[in-house]
Amino acid sequence: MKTECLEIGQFQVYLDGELDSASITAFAIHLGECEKCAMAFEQAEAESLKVLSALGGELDTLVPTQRLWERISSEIQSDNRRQSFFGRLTRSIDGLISLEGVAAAAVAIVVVIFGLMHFYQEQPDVPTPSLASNSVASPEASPPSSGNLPLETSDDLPPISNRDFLASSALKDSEIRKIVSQRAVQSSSRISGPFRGEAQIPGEESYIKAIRGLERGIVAQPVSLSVSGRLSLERDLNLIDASIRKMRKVVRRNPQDLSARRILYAAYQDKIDILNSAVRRQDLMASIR
Amino acid sequence: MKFLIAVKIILTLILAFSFAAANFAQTPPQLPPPKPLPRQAISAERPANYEKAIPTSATVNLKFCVSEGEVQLNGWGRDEIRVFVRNGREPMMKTLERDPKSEKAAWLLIGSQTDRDAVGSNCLAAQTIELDVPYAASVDISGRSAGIVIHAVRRAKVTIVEGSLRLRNLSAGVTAEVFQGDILVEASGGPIWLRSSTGNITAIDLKPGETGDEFHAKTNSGAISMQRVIHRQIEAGSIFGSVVFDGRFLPGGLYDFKTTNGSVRLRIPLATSGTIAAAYGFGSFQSDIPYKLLAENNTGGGRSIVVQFGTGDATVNITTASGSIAIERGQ
Repeated sequence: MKTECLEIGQFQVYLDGELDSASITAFAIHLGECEKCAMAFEQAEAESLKVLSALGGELDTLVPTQRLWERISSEIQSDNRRQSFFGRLTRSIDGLISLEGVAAAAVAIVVVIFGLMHFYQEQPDVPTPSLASNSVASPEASPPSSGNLPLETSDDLPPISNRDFLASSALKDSEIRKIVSQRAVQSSSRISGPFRGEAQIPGEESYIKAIRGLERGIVAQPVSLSVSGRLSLERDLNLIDASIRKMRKVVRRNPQDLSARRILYAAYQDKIDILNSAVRRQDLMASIR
Repeated sequence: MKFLIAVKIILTLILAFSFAAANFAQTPPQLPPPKPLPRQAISAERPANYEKAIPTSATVNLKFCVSEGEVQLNGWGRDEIRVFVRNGREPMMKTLERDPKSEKAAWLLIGSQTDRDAVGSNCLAAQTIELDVPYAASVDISGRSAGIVIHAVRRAKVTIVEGSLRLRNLSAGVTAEVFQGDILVEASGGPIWLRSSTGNITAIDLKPGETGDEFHAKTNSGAISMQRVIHRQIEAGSIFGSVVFDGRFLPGGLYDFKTTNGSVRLRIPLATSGTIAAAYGFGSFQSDIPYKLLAENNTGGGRSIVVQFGTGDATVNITTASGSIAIERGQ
């Protein structure tokens, strides 16, 4: 039965990999049934790929989406809030020391001037907020302190683009890769969906074993897949998983149905072919410098 | 409170003075003037036009990779290979093996001329790359982003990440894989193995080189179209696209067509002789040509049918999970 057509926002959420396992399946099934949505999705995907390819080098490999960046950003914010006063002071001094030459001296002089102004401003009625109290206050409640160094004040600014975010955040490359890798693992475990936690049908063991092996291979090198490649792979796998689920139900209902078995095994073989293809693509990319 | 503020001020003053002192005492050293690059490195990296040729044996094996560019490879009647590069890296030819009799190159590698110490690609990269090779040559090409056209050689093996591939007049077989892009093979013979992840595969006028040669075509989301492919063993599958076979089933031939969601269309002559076993799960089966029903299973999700045309000489297997199967009358 065909349900109502999907909205463009839902396509974007899917392309960003934000859907959970059940929603992905429903999405894939709907796309398979609704030609209008399939065409609209194809268009949305093409536009998305156009944008990604235009960004080129910045999003060279497996790059998190804007939503993920926002999540990473909020993680950093909460992490910074948890830091102690001495931690913040040490980071501030480290940051200052890492600056060179005239710029460092200029920053230091500005800090001295602010300090002196602060010293001569006697305001007994208004309690002076300390840095420690700033660190536990919510970002909405506390206005940016003029005495804070750029590392702290950047928390209040939303990331404008990935490049700005990379420049302003304190995340190291290895940390970003770790997050992306975890995301890829989650995505891969979603791929294994159709047979997770279910009793196996005789004859499908070898297929499942082969599929798991290939998935592990892909997850081991998540950053070598391009964004478009990953999107295409996820879409194909979700669609084939939907078919496998469908055929498994039929085979479970009637284990003697050889035709259904034949179709199920063909679908498994298709999944192996898709994964194999992704692995071969990785190998080729690695071999061509 | 005041004590804390005083401590802060003293700390910042100390820092300010130490930075200022460091700045005055340590003037940043002037950067040395840039060293002129070696002449070879400049010529290797600056896009330009190059032409090179090398004598080879008639049955030379040629191997090269392309990082980007349009490649046009043609067979010709001379025992030599000519390479012309427009707006690209300088090509380098390396003989890997010589013919024991003629001493000419029998296995040749073409790469790009790079500085020995420079870290860079050794694949060809250019706006266009033209190659003329002996008719009996075999070529092995790998590429990242390339449009490749190969015409009139003996055999070709091509693997590219993205781009289009067109092959014509290859006499002894094709092995081709394009991860993102279309494949077209025309008027060729021998064993054919074609694979694309997201592109379409079109095969026209193909025949086996010798008995037992097979035709394989597989794509994930593209369509497969076969017109006048007269191999006796054909295997074609598209996961989400359609499979179209327009031709004749030969006596004793083995044909296997598969899709998961796409449709299978067979355009065959009225006088076809073959047995078709179709498993179509949630899909449908329809035939314009009269047949003899041998077996049928109509359970939901596991539907199948076995039909015979003529005397049933060829064996045809069709599998689809939810696509349609249509048999139409062709020429």
